[in-house]
Amino acid sequence: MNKTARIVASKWFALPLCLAPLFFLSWDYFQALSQLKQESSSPIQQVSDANLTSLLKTDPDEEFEDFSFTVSDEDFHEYTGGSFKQIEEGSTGNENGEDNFSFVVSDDQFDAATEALSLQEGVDQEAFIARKMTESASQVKTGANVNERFLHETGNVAIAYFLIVLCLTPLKKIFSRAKLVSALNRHRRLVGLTVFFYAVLHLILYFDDGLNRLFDEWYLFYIQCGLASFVTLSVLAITSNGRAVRKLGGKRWKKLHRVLYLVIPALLYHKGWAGKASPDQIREALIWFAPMLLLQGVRLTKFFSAKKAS
Amino acid sequence: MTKAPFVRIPKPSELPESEATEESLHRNRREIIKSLGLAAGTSLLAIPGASANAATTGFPTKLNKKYLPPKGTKPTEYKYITGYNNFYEFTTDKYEVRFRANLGWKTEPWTIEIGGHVEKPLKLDVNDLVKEVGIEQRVYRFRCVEAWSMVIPWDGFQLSKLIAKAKPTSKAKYVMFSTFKDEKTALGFKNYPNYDWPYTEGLRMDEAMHDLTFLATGIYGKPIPHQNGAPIRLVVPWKYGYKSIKSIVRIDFTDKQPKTLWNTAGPDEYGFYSNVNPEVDHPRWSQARERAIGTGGFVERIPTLKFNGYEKEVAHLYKGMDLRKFF
Repeated sequence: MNKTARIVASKWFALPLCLAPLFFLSWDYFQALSQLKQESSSPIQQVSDANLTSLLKTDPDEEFEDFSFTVSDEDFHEYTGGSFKQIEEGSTGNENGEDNFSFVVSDDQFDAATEALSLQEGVDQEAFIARKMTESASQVKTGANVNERFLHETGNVAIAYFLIVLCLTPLKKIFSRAKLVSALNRHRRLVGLTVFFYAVLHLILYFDDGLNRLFDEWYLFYIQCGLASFVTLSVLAITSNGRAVRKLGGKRWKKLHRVLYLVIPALLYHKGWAGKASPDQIREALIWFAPMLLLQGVRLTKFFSAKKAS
Repeated sequence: MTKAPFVRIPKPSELPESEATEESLHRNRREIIKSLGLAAGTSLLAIPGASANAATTGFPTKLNKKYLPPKGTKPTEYKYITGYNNFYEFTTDKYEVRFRANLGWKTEPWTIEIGGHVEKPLKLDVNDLVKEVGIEQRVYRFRCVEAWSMVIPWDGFQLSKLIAKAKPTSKAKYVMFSTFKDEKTALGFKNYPNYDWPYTEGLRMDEAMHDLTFLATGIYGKPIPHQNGAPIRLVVPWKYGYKSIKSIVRIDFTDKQPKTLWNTAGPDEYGFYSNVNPEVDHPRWSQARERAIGTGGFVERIPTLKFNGYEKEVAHLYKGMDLRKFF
């Protein structure tokens, strides 16, 4: 038991655990980006997104000249000629010249998208789907709406560590003798800084579009909750070092860091409301927060009963 | 619905054995179709009179030059169109739809019933219908209410052709579409009981008769995959994606504004009209910009256009209407 506690107390135990999501996420993310990049260098993708952006930014009158649905033959050739013919090998339509042109996917692509799956009897559908998802991850999941996906994932990771760090103190108060719990509690600062680190990643992804998104959405309450939480966390992160503790004095430092409890409702709302805000999602957020809230509740009752007894 | 925060990607060598059987079956299917195709002297899926597969008639299609991708855009990659979309009948996870919709759901043969204020109620086989009216390809922008968008080459025909065939009476002011409700093939009915199944959608008569309003039976020159609403779905490019109901089984002509699933579920979030409008935000997020699927990294999200870029074509339908009120 002592030995386990000693291992757990080591920073070489905690640090990899805190950094593991970063490795998985960044590997997955950069793979997704390189996949997108490959696509954009293939002939079918030659019309760049930058073109579209610049087009849509022009003033409305000009824009509609470009948006016409009747185009000259010249334009038609520009869109469809050459590049599309090369990419769709063996496709129909293209061979007969541009008058018969149509966008056609290859049979392989079609087969991959429409492959009939057979669920063997006795196999759980959820497990089957989970396996299929893993298998296909490199195919689709990485590329489609990649930033939105990682926005959610970094946010989830940050909240997960936030919940862990809030479990540590109550665990210590409840199991005051357990060596393992004390060992875990040595990592409170590290886990707290981890929360901040993933929150930064989450925020960077939110600003993938510059400040546009913030300008568009600042008035939404769940966005405000998230931003307020982030500001609070940054203050706590900045003061998470020995020097700050000495400068503030232990008591004041402790008082300051109790602000963290205010972040709990803000992040609960932030998670429950982000995205679809369906009953399922609110339930999911509550399930995430439940163990931590339970431990904090037990700690509080213990605290108050001890106070009464004295 | 808790998901793992990250997904491990297997190496090619790690494919499970079960994949092997599926693959061989799969090859067989293709071989058979291919040989048939060769015999007919045409390419795959262009088999004349192949009525066994409901929506396979009509291919290959010709692109209608009036409906090209808007300048500067390109059709979204097929794998994203077919691998990332909503279909709540199966799941709320956009990445999972394509698996759950292909677990034995049969979409052939498929009949559409037409009723309500019509001269004579009809029952149509999709295959026969396609043979009769013919299909063409059109490229439309597709804007989801969740602020992402695609550019999709649809194959199909104008809804007005079907309406002409149905001969609605003068009482018909709206068109109501309904899709299937088969609890055996799709788990959504059970998993999300809060929605008013089956999925229904509606259009005003003049919207339904508009040249842009389309019934799709294909994507990218191939029959529409299950996950995208096989074998026949609505496409209304100037409205948010959920208006474009999938897998239609019934069309009714009504004199009152029909109830629609999303309008019933959240009347303050999803209006009956649901026209794409960057000026009217969804209560929980902004509609000013959209993420073009297939872009990532630090690439700007593109500005959303009023009526999804089809303002010139459709704005007259809503003349004098307060689009903030009738969102």
